[in-house]
Amino acid sequence: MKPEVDDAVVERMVAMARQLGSKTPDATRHRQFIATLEERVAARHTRTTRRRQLATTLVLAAASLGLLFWLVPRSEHPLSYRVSGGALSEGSIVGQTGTSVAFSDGSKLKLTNGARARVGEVTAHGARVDLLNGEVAVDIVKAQGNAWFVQAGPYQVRVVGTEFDVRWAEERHRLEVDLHRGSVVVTGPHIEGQLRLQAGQRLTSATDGSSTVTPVGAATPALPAAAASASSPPTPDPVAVPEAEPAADLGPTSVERRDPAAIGWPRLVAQGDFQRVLDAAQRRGVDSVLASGTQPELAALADAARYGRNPALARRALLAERKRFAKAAAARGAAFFLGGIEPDGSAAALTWYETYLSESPRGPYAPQALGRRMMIVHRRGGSAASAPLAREYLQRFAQGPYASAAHKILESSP
Amino acid sequence: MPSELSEASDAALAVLLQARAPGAARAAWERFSPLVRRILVRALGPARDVEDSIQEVFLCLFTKVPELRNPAALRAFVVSITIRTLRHEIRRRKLRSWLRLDGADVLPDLRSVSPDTDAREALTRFYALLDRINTRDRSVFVLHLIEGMDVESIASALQVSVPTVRRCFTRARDRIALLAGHDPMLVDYVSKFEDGAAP
Repeated sequence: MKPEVDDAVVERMVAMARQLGSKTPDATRHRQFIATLEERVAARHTRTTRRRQLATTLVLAAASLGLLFWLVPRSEHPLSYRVSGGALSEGSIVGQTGTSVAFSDGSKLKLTNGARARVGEVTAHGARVDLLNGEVAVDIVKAQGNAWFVQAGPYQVRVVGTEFDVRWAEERHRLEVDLHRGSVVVTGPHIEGQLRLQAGQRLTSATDGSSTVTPVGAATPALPAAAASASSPPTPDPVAVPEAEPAADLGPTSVERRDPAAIGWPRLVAQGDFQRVLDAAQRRGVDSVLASGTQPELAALADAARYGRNPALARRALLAERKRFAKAAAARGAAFFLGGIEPDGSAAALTWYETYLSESPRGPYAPQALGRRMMIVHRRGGSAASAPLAREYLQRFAQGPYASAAHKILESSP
Repeated sequence: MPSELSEASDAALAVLLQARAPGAARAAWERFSPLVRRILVRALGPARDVEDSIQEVFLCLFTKVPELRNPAALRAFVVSITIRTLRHEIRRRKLRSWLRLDGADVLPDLRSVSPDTDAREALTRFYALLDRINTRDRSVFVLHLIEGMDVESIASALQVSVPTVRRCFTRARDRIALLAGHDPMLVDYVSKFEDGAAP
């Protein structure tokens, strides 16, 4: 077994960890411990005996409870739901302005005006929704054992935990699915086996035609589709995302078929093989990737470009990720990394950190974003300007890495 | 402390401990507490106070030392107790974290390691990744890679076979490499370091 680790990140962290443990022991505690050593050893004997007695009692109690648990029959209650703002007609819900169906697990359906849907079988883990005509926006709360289905004519969309819009034109027998978050599996005519859609993709399928997958933002020929909202904050250096190329015919694994290498981009990034990701993106065409790549692909490309010292490409990938997957949490995180790409202390960096904090006030990078924001404001406006941020930082992250800087700012502020 | 105790061999010290000779406990503490501290700090990370765990190790040592059959193996015995305490501490911390009794987002003061905040941030995130792998794999990873113990000693201390230790190490290394590679801040930090911009 080689003690070396190939991965540069782990190797570096291990090297830093090896520096730990060299601190001099706490002399006071050391003396106290030695002074009371004999009593503590004796006390420990007593404690150990008591603990053993207590443990035996607890084990017996736990065994009794476990037995009781298995003997008592368990039941699972199906979810309940409430329809608001709609009309009922022949057992189905007819959408009007603001019609929604709220399930007891937090999942929601929103019917557009004129859409018709029926809530079929409801279980403890989900429900089957029959979309008879029109459009429904589906937001399913992710949970283990989820079993949600949307049936639209001969098509079935199986859901795990996700957010998407599904449109079914009964007369033309055409289906459209816009996936905003998570993944769904679609089965139906002209789809061999199962098709897994990923975030940012739109499936268009007709029972008398073929099936295609395009980016959510791209125009589709027949059904008028509400494009996914794509928002981006004031961008210091806006980059246009090119129009999507015409989508290819779709098979059961069309996403994988586009570029087999793309499947492993996040994994390649994780392994530190950034160049392979960049090469694969070049082969496929960077513009094409930015326009039609999935959210994980864009995130991986952005990471590979950042780590591969290509900030311009990283910026384009992050902006595309934000534009095309505005609702995804990962896309909100892109604002933080955009801040890191901009020149240190620049107004552009400050804007991105502020954007990140406004969009994800409790996000995983909030301590860093707030700390960096505070430092930039301090650099540009001095202690007086940054003092409120320093106070906020200490209030929220008293032990954070910028805590000492925040203290210094407050000490020097008037 | 008498000089003969501080200079006694491990075997002699073990015999004295078993006989509860005056000064033997203190000599054991002086000899082994740096080792115990180093293992615990490196394994648990800089964010935690290990003083209580160190004292636990020595209390356990003084209680269990009569059971030591081979006095020459005193150092291995101490390491073995340290690792048991370590595993207990990791489980306890997981439970406390699960019950939300610990401040999970508390960042450590790593000024002794590196004065810059990025380094502190990176090392904290690295130990947060270690918290995500199972206790045995973590112990093996830390003892072999960070502490530099050989496989046989780890197997003996954990009371498992050498192949098991190898499997644990491989599993832990792959998992940590994957998790670390997925952490953009860690990768960012190391990239900067390689560029010469950081620490």
